[in-house]
Amino acid sequence: MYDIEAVRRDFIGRTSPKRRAKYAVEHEPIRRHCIMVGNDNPLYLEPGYAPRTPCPPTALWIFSMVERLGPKGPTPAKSSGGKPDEKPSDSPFSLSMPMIGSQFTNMGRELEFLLPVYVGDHLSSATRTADIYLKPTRLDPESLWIVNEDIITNQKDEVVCLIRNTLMNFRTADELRTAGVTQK
Amino acid sequence: MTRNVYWEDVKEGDILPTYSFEITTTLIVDQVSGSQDYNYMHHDTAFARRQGAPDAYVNTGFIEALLSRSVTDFMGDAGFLKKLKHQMRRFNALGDTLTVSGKVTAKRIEGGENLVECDVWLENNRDGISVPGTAVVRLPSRAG
Repeated sequence: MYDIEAVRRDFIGRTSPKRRAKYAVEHEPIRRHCIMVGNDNPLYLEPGYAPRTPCPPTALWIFSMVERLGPKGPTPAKSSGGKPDEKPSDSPFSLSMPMIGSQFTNMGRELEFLLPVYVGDHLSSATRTADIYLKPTRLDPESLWIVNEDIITNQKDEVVCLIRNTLMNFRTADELRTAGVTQK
Repeated sequence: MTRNVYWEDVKEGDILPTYSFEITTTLIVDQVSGSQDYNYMHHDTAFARRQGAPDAYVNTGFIEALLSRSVTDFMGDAGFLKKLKHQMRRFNALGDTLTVSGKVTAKRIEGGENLVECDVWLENNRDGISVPGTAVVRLPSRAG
């Protein structure tokens, strides 16, 4: 039996230490971020177009995800072979807590940008668990929702971005069958 | 050459740039490269289907970047994206065609800033609007 009240008591408010990303903000990851969505904005892609090249706002988190850009650098996952219980090799979710199922998906995000970030800046981040609750979804009648807040700072310790991310933990169809849960 | 958009020139109801994409295997590769998100559900069909998704589905970083592209193309070089919020209500999966759209919903001056509020959203060919969102942008004023 999952004790949601105990998990809420133990984990809401828990905050990770502030960690500095391994790499500074660089042109090449920005180029790949833009290519991904066909963004050909010269402001982001052409050094010299502006006095300083700004980081596209939605690329900020790449440069602050210390979990992925840690000592081993970006970590490609091993081939899963489609196994549902095999977790990614480098989880982005730093504040581990008891889960209900083996699966995760993001449900939404709120970004607030306070200052521009430029190529050459160096970012740090800290994560706080803001909320945890159960809410049924069509995937799992006991989906576990986890709200984390990230504070992103630059090398001057100025807050450049606040991120509020809502993550959902849920069970596969096989896990639901094993638990005796009938899906509607 | 810079391109500026001024607050005074924007009207409620103005349409943001619209782009359409088919989610192909090549786009899935670009997504992993551009987001550095190697989680299986975003590139592995079998893994995604065990989650209940129709196929490998694009990740949060991709969706945000697509919504943001429409907004940053709209706001010009001197605009500043202050807020972007979205909810992922449906999977956007391999084989789907995605369209990002948006429109200006309000204008206001707050704390000396010239702000524009927008609705932004993604639609796919299976589910309609799969990701609704909002954005707030600061624009320069012709008054300086």
